[in-house]
Amino acid sequence: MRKSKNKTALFVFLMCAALLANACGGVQSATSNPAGIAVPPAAPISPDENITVKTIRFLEDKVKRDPEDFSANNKLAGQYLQRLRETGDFQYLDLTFRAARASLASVPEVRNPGGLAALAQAEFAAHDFANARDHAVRLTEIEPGKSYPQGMLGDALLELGEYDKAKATFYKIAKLDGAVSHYSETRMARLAQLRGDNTEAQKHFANALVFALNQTAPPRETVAWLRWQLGETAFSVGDYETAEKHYLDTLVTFPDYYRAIASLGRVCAALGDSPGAIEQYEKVVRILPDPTYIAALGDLYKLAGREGDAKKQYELVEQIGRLSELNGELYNRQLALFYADHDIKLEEAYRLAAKEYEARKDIYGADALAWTALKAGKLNEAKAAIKDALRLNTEDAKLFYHAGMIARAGGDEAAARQFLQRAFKLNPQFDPLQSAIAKTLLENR
Amino acid sequence: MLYAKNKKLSLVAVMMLAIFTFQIIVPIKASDHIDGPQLAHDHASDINDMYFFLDPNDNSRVVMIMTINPFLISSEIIGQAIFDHNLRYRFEIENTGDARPDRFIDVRFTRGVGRETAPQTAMVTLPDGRRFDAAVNTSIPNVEIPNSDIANIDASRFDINALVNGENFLARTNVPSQGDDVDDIEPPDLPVTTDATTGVSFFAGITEDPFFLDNTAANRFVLSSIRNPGNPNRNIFRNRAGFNAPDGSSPDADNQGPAPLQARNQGVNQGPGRDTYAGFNTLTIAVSVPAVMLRGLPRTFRNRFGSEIGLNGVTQRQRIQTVREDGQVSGSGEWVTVDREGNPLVNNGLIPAPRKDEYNGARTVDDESGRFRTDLIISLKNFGTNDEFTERILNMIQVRGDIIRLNLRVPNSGSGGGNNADGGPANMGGRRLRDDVADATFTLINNGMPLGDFVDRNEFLFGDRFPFVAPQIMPNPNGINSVDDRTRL
Repeated sequence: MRKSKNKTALFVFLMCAALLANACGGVQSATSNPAGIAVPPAAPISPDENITVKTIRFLEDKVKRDPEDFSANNKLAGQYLQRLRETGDFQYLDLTFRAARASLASVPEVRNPGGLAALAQAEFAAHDFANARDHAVRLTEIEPGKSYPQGMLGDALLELGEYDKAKATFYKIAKLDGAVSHYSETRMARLAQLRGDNTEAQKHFANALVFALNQTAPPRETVAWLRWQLGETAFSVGDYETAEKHYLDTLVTFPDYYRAIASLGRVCAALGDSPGAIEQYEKVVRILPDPTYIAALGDLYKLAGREGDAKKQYELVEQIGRLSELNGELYNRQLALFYADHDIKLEEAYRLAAKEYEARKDIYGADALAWTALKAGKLNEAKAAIKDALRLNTEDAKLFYHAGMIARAGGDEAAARQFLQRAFKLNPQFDPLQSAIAKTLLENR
Repeated sequence: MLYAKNKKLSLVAVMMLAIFTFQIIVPIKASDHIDGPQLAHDHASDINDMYFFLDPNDNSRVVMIMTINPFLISSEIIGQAIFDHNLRYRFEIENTGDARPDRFIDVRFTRGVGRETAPQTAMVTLPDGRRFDAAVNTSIPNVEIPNSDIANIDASRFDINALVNGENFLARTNVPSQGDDVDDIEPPDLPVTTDATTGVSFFAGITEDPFFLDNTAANRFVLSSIRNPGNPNRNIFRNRAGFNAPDGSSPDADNQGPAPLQARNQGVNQGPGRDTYAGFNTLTIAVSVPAVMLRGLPRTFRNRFGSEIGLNGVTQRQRIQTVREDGQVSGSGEWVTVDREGNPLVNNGLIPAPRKDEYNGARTVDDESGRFRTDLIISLKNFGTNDEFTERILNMIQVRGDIIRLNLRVPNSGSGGGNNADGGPANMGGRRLRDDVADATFTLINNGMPLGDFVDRNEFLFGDRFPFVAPQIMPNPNGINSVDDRTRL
């Protein structure tokens, strides 16, 4: 057995070494970044998959024996959500709904807040933010002294674009729970991102990582997600090397974590390593055929002159986006932006974005509406929507790029130049295709 | 839910001293609940139950058991079965007949963050200040795979539980099983440390959860009392056990078929009810001490012989939590209660939801002062409990604090920690593992008329020697009889 242990250690080491060697920059583990924020060094965390799968089997067996066992159903819903986070596989979302509903059918919410919480989490994951919000409100009534309903409520409000309410709700977490758990720090980070303070966001994410690692059993996916968020924040300000380090750290913690692989592909593209980027995206779409990743892979193929391969990927985006009603809800915005980015089905893109914005008035919804409206020739609507998108002063190169393109279409060359320059200054390689367009426009002025 | 705890960790002020080294001032109230998976912040502090009885093998010794962190599934053991080194697990002993604790046994643990760290060590501090260390049993033994099964092993999915420290051995036993198609790993013996100087015995580790209850029925019953104050549906328990089902007349009847066929508890002779806790593990701390170590001077009429002692269990965190330069969190300053547990089913059955956290963070003297008395009375009225039984219940759980009482003169004997009829909670004999406290509680609130959940005992036999609890339910190793023929939901 000791031999087995050593073999496993060697295997893990080799895996990590391989990951590092395969990266576009081949850099080592991150311990700090230019913002001076210390980040704990990455280390492998034992996989949860077998544990989660066995746990799920046990609980499924339990609820087969007693379908009314709400405790088992609640725990089962939590395990399904965990698998959803780990794999991105939406079949677990359906299972979560079923477990949560079975729980609440057995014992109503007033004696079963865990069941209601599971349902609200499932709704959130399914992008049914209005119901997630309403159920979170109910949870705050049932459990007024607890912070988790406030977190769930704030998350839903954020997605619905109700930022002031979300902020107030998140501060209630701080009051109930302090600013010390990864739960609250993550939400402080999100608020900081939205108001354009990416340095502050990185600090909060770093703190969240420390707290997650200090749990008695650090959850692997949570740790990985936080490291990935640090990478995303670094990428958003154009610090590609730091972003790459964080993505690699993520993969040390959680090899094959699809989010980090996709982001690694994007950073490879930003660093000019097109083959490396394609390799990473090809890898991630094998793990999870998410339309966003497939579209990105298509773009990279296109830039590499592989038009046929690009076309296949673009067709696949639509197919997956339309695969089911649920996918439609989940991928609505991505599909609208995909159409707009690629100048296809522009009326459809606008329709999708406008419909979503009716129910969900967050800044990225406004941005999608603005971008699709512009492409559909509805300039006045685009102007109004991009104003909404920029209302929080969020520092996001894509927002600035869209604002610049809208200003340009409206004949305001000075504003267009200003926005495009801001986008470039912040994150010159924000998107392989769109940043190239922006660059050309700037150079031709 | 009756088993659940409601606590929260409230942190109101944050003082950043440096980017990576900072302190948090922590006016801790209490933490969370057990039935909201992925939402809980503080499972480690979540006390399930307290047990308190004379050792049936030697009535001069007192056994105290605290179970923490509920609903652990055998497959989760590696990830979850770690005692929190920042917590103080405290046995509060009352020995003068009032609500104020007089003596304390404290247990703390070395750091155990992560899934593959070295085994933890417990540090036990006795009422007189003497201390000793003890090993903790939270690891899973290695599994020696027989040659005949090697071909079946999926090496890429080999479970981490086969790679941790411990002795090798083969699993082909009659130990608790997760299902019909598995051979589980034989659980290790429960290692007991006995301190030669004090004679105190100690155990800490993962065990099978000794509690038994139909939690679904219990919560429906509570809900019924809220919806129909004074006239709850008492048939809920019978319906859940299948006696009246399916008769179409009761919304609680299910379609499981008549008893006893629908009785699908894993254990033998558990009764026709459904044990929510069957198959789950928990963390357990158990202490066996000479009774003389706890006994106090007689101060009240009720305790005129000095033979009555009481127990309340608490988990506590220090008010100041410091994140050190190495990224680890350590505590300092005043200890603040996160959770407490005395008598079973009080908080979750009788305290209204908005006050559960407050109750968990309160002291037993707060009970005595009447802080929750009105809530308790309202809940009992909702259950239809009459004045006589209301008074009796309040005398047990409020007037002198929510404390389990044990008369050292009440004998305890029998298997599995004791089961003689003239002992146990009805006779001031504390709370034993085999005592059906759920039925006892429901009967009390039903004005002495029998009412129970038809789950009469634990799914596994308890031991006959300290620490008495049943060994942990073990996972089956991958590759051995691991064909998963269970369909998805």
